[in-house]
Amino acid sequence: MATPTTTHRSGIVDRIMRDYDAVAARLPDAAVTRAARGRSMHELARLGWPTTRDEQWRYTNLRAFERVAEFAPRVLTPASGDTAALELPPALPGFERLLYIDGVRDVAAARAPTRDTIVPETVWSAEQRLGLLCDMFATDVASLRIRGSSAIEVLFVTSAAAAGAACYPRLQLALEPGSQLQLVERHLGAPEIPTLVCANVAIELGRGAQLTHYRLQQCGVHTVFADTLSAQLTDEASYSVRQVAIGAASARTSAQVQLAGRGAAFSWQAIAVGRAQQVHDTALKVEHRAPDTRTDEVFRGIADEHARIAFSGHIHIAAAAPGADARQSLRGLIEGAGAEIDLRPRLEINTDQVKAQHGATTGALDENLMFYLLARGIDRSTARALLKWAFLGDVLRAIELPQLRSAAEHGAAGQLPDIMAIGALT
Amino acid sequence: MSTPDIDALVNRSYRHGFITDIESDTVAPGLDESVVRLISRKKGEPQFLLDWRLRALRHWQGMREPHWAHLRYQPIDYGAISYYSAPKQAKDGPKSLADVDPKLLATYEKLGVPLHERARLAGVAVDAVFDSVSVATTFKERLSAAGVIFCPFSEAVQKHPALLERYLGSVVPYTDNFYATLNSAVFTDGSFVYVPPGVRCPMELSTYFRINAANTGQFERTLIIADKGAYVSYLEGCTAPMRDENQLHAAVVELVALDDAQIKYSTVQNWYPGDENGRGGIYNFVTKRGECRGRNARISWTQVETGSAITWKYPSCILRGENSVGEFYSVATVNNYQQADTGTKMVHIGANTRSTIVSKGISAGHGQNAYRGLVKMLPSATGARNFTQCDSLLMGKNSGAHTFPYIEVRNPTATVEHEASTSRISEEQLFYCLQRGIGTEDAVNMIVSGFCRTVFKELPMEFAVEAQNLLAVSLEGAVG
Repeated sequence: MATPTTTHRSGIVDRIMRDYDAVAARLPDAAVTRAARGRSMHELARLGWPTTRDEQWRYTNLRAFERVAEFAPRVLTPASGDTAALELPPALPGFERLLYIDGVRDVAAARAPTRDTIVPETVWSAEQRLGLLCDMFATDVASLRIRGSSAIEVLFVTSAAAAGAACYPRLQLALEPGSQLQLVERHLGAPEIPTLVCANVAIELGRGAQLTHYRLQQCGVHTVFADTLSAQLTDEASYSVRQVAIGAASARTSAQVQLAGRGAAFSWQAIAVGRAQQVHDTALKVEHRAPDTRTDEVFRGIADEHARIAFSGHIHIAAAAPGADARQSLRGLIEGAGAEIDLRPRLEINTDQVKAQHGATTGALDENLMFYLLARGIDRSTARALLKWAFLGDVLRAIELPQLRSAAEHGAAGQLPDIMAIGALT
Repeated sequence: MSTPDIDALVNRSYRHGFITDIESDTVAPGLDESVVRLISRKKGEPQFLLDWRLRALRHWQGMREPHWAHLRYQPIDYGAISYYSAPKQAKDGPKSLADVDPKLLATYEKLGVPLHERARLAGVAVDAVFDSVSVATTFKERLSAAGVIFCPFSEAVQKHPALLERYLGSVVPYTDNFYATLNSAVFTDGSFVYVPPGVRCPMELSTYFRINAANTGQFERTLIIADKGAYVSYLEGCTAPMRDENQLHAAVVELVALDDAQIKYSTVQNWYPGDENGRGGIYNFVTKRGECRGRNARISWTQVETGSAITWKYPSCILRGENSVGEFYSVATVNNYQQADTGTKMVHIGANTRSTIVSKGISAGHGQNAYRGLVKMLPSATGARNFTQCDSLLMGKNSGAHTFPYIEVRNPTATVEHEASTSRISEEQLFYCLQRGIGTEDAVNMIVSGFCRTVFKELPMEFAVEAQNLLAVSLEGAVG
């Protein structure tokens, strides 16, 4: 397909188009059809590259994406990789493990994608336009249709082979009515490898389906990470996300959840911990489109040294969603003199039969709580570490799988050395 | 306020919608350099001000109208607006109230604005702005005895050019935003206040803005400077005739508070809101910003927004001086098809600066009300604090309430707390009132008054009464 011309083209979009043209003929149809890739390319050309003047991209480290040397993936076909060279986490008891290395499945540890369309092609909004990159360049897809009750762990690992290039993890998931799934999605990467990881996740929940989705982002410190998620919930479906973001040099999560069926419920509990020059930006939009739908959002962010943590939580309640109930609790803690926290709790309400509230706080540790601990003979550094640990505790405790919670705790504590020192980990 | 009073008010329509039949000097619609030069010539302005206007015009011509606000309206044809309209008057203008056209005095009498001598009892000095010009200012002598300058902007240009040159555009530069830049090019009048060091202004100052002529816009500019240790309380009111066409109002207000100074700025905005079908009404695009330039300075914005078809307004504080304080108290009511996107910005630069934001939004009918606020703590804002409370009340299944706060913190010792809630009037509250024999409409008015109480108590007494009256009127027909 010919490269589109548009007035919205910029240097980076031109570069992406060139990289795409170079590999387009070799990208597998099984992951994304050629026609769909072409549509995504045209859409990206139409939308153009975001700038920090765009409301939804104000806090993203776009420069990090612009500095990516090569957008084309290096590994194009599934292979049986040498997994011994990778430091994979221990298997979770009772979970089926699917392994994807540099965006393609390890043939020994992942199913081939079905030819069925698991979820309809996602139309990404302008706020989610990085999802178009994955649609253009994806080399494989984990496509899962769930009936009954399941527990699946999907590991997306970046290896040394992807250094200096890009990989495009892709997950499509459909839960049949009444089914239940515990899903663990982990992004891991060897440190010291400058790589673009650009993941797409598309989810559909049938009537009464229940999904608990654990997401751990532990990419290498030089990784530029983009993660675009779309979920659609029908009647009485329930979707819970527990997300821990600690890796990558710069990360952007763009998630949109549509509560399209009566009584659908969504819960989002997330932490982000950054240090050094890390930037974590999350933009979550939840659309209440049906009556009696519920959202509960909790975010905790700690920015140490020169890190920036940003969270934008946008809840939109349509006129067709009477009885909606929405809550947001966003809290940020700044630990470093050069650090920054940006919070945007947004409510957009178009009917009067709703309950909606949000609270957002940012600042240092509470001096009253500190005094309470000091008065009990606890030294200042231990008291600080305990309070920081408690700050993250709400979300970490919501991870119900002990082994995974321990991994998340160790990951978070790795970012905050004083916590490691007090031995608070399980 | 007693419930029969509210009942009477609820059944009234917009009472300031009359037109004054007065001969006006109005320039042809359209905007180019010749219009700007004409305005400047009519005002007899010094060269620096003309140059400033022209720079603004050139900058504006390269700007795009912003559309990020949660507002929907028909495109504004800036070429169809007349940028200057003033009542015809003797060449030298009125020397005193006795020289003012009786029709104008009658207009303000009808609006209840105290311009006559009997107004002494009210103890409020008033500057009355009619379309593009100030027509009268009261109590100038008494204020001048205290050293306070309170005069029309065009008079300040002639008599106090040094002050003007020093402070004009120092808080809202002519490049600030689309509407402020437009205002900088074509502003015609407004109020100027300077309170010298250590002076507590002996009375409330008030400006009353009135749009009268058709197909015109109003572009006034207000500049208030409180020097070291000074205090001033300033009130602003506004009305317009009922017309089926929309009219543009794009004002700029700049406040400067030096060391230990305090400025209290109160607004009751009652521009014509359009009819029950959303026809007509004022497009109100206003830039208001204050800068606490000195230590321990304080700027307080209190606003009651009941009018206008479209409101786009974010009174803000730049807290530069150590220990300075910014406050924003707001009630914004929308009914029928009114839309408001309003809020504030608190930018903390100095150490130990504090800000408080209390915003109450009420949406009825098909009204759309958005709170948009920024709290920004810069790295230098050690120990700074902000508290924000943002509540919305919905009165109708077709109404909308939206909250768009931005919190940006870059200092580890700064604290920001933000709370917001959206609800409708609770069944329990209504039941409690009804059970005691209070009618539904009265009960709703009482509950709404209670909802807004924290803001009303910040208003000067005369304004608080007017604000409460207006609130009841603006919610007319919302209870069904």
